[in-house]
Amino acid sequence: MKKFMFIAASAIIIVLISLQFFRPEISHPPVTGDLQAPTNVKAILVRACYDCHSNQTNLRWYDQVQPVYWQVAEHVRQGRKGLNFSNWDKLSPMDRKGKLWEAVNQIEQGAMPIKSYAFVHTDAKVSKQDLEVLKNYLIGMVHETPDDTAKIHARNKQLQAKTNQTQQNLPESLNGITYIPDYNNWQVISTSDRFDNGTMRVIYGNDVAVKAVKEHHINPWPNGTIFAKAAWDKLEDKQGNVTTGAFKQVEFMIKDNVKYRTTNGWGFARFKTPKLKPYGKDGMFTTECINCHKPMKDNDFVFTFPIKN
Amino acid sequence: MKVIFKILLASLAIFSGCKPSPGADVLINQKASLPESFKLSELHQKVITSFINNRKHTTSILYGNNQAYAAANGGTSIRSSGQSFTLVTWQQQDDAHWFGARIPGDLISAETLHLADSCSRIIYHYQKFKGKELAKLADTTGNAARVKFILSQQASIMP
Repeated sequence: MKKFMFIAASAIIIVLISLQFFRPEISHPPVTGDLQAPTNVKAILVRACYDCHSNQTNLRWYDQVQPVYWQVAEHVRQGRKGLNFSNWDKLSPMDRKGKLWEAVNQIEQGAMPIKSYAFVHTDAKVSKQDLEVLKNYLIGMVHETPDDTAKIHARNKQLQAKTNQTQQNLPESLNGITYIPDYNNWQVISTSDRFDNGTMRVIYGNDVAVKAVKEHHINPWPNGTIFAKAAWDKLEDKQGNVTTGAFKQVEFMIKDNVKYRTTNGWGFARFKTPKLKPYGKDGMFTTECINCHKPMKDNDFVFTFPIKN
Repeated sequence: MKVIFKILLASLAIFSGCKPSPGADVLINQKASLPESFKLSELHQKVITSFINNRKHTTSILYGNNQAYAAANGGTSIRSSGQSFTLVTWQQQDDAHWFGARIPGDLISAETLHLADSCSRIIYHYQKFKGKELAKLADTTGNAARVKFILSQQASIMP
């Protein structure tokens, strides 16, 4: 028995040593434009996020031991793809804001930093106080302007265009989901006042969804469930009344755990403006959807708290 | 051996974040839900528009039957008998799933408005229901202003 243990242990050591020679590359491309933020905010983000979400990856010796190094390299690769603070200049001001709100939400929901990473890199943990600093920074960026002429103009333009709009073929998203015009006949399962990006939303559910809410069968949601989330600009007057402005987009989530197996059982689609322009450059836009919905994995990837009607 | 197994199991639990999935009781927005007796979903009305009051921190949805919806979307203010509206208002609450969003919280009221014909005149039947149980309100003070308010709402732009 002892001899067997010795041979087994030696074999494992030999394998581990040989593994050290197989090393994926972690590149350090130039920083084209780093995130600009107040010192205290930036310090937290650098500490908690920059190893994977910037080109300034700082590897400790224990990150470089195989087989851990494989996982580290993959985290860095995926991390930079989703959000890279070193290429901040490549994003529009609106996208920068969107990314920051998403990042802070990922932290608040406990999805980031990744548990296994934070377990080893204890300094990457974001404390309650740190989170408050980040949230206050974001709140400080919210500016709601009453009687915003640009927004009023955008709405009026859409209204004028509506009268001479002709019926066209139903558009299709880049992952092959056809626009569903029927959603405005569905029931409302919630609304959302998105002060982070100045929009307001109505979330509709089809009959399957409404029935599931009534019967409390919503985790997981049954196959056939469809949500439609329509978004408009928020138009505020001087009395604090906020009405819907220009139509921004409608997003669909279609539940089919076989057909949409690779995207967590949901088919995602987004159509922008009243012209219903399919979102994204190619079918891979769903990676964005999945990443953002990941913190909701215990709720079948759904953010909405449905209302019973 | 047993100890190793236990350690492995414990670390697996830590890394997989072993916790039970939240049930429907937690995920359904109970505060904002309408009492079953109100039967809103059985009316099959469509959303005409939604609005928010930033001072009172309330959020509302205005629904209408097909006639009301068509009139509101036609951009005309032609009021005819048969048009039906329902206006539901909630107090807002922070969204526990998204920092940066407010969602419906406590149910404040539901208001219904039916337009009927009587001797070639339009009659406005307005009723307010209040609170979590949407109790019928007998007080009719301010009803005329509410009717005017509901009828003045413009439809949201839909593709």
